[in-house]
Amino acid sequence: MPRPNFFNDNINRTFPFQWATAGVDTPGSGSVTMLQLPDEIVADCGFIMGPESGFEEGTHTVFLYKITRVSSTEFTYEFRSDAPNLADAPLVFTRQITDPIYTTEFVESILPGFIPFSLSLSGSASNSTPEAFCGEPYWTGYLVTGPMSAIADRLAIGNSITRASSAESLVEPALIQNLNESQLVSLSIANADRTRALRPEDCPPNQWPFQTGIIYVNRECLQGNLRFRSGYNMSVSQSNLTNTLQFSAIINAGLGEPCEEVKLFAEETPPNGSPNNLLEGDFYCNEVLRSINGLQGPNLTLFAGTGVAITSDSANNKVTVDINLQDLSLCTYSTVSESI
Amino acid sequence: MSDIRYPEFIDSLENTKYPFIATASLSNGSVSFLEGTFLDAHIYAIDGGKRYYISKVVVESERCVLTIGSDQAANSLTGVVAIPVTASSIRLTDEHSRPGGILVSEPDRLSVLTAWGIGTHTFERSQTEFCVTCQMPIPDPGVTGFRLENGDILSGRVWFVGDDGVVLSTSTVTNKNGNPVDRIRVDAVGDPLYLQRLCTSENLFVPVNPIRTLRIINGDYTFDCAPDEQGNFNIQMNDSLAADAALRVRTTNEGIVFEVEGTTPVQDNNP
Repeated sequence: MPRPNFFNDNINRTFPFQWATAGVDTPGSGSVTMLQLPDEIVADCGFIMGPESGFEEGTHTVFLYKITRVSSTEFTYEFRSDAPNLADAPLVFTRQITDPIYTTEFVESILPGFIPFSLSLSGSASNSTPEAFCGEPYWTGYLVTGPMSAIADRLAIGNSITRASSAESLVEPALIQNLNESQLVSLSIANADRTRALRPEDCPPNQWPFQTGIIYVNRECLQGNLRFRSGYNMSVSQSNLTNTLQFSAIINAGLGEPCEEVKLFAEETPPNGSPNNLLEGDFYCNEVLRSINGLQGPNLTLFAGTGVAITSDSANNKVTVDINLQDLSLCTYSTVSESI
Repeated sequence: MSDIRYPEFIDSLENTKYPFIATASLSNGSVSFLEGTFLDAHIYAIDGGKRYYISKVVVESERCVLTIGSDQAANSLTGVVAIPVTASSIRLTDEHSRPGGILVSEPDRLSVLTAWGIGTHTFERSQTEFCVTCQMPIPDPGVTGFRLENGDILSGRVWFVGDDGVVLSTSTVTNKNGNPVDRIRVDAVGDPLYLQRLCTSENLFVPVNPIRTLRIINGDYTFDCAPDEQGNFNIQMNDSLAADAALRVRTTNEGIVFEVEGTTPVQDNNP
């Protein structure tokens, strides 16, 4: 008798399922439950949890959830996990009744989805917006099956064997390779809002033709080789020794000083009716009186010395500097008047 | 003695050195792993490595810490077993808490570690090397994550968000082979109203309507004067170089003084 190989061993024992979670009190013939699943149905399997699977060893498990006879010739084997991210991402393997023993199949789950920013803005409701896909599959796996006659004899067309409790058909933990959080899947670029100018309560507020105070998405799901470029006042350096990228804000570094404001997104505009096209809606330095004779505010005092009278008219925002020569000795013909 | 023809997977590994290699001594001369302490293992450190072995076991009053070494480092992965032992598997993680494998056992089997006594027990590779079938190669996906200065690791889907005067943008360029490559541009352009933002969070900032021009009215003449490039406006007297100018405009720390030079009448104290 030839020595049995690994697969041959497996179709005669519970493996790849944990002991006592399958193959328990299997009847000689007829329909079975998942707990009674005959050893020869599954010869081997293995799974790789992707970087976004959320899988945690010792906490989450992988199990055979359902075997379905779709038609007289086709069967599906559905594996699931109780990791939260995998709730809607089963691995479904397909077999034909004519497949030979130890047929092996590799399957990938769906990819994690996301709603592109452009679509999320155009859609009135997020659930009506089609998703794009980004990154690696949630998880992948392979399945090696035993003789198809073993399952065909026990499962009628249209019927399923479904897992009934959490203690059934658990896959051996060492058959799972967990790559959760093991790699950078994608890089997305966005900008937070700039500080936008406020107007006093008695002035009309600035209004922009777009929503403010949000994160403006530039690109989502960048993958593959990426480059960084130094822009205005920016120095990007790389140290291969320490595997470090360093971003330094240095005046005139990179592309130097900008000649005009840099938009947060391509369609950014100044507020409606802006007189100066400043994106944040305020004024240039030379548009605002910041000092008189070098003296800064907020309060500036004007003193009337000898021969001068200063009066104010708050209602009209008016200050009158009157060179009236009061208290001065005047010649009889004097009509001195100077203006400033 | 009769053998079970098809023993269960775990049962078939009983009384073997698996998951260690057959030549592993499982002893450092003072303490020993029993055959069957571990039933299975699956090791895959993210930063690569091979020839994994148990390099150290630290037994404390409330836990045991197992350190897995590799050809790259003596402390590639660690796993923790709480005492009293109730776990049937040990989750292995790297220094950034990323998964790196699992050791499969049973509480009764792991209890042998607690019998070693509190202290640090070190092992050589020849004593505790895992067999090659327990060591899974890791694909090289390129960048596995961004490590920040505070030690945090970002992986998965990472967002770069420009804020407080930093603006990020992207473009697509071609590399020397003519293939498209995404490029991220970083601009440090400042946030002119950043101080306003700091105050706004505490409701300290009160917006004002600034003076933008001064209207000078001199008899029938009216002038609208804007400040200079620095936002300054100068008031000075006419004919400031004239020797006989009487008007003086002086700037002091307290304010601006307008006065006329001259003599004041002598008061007659005699009634």
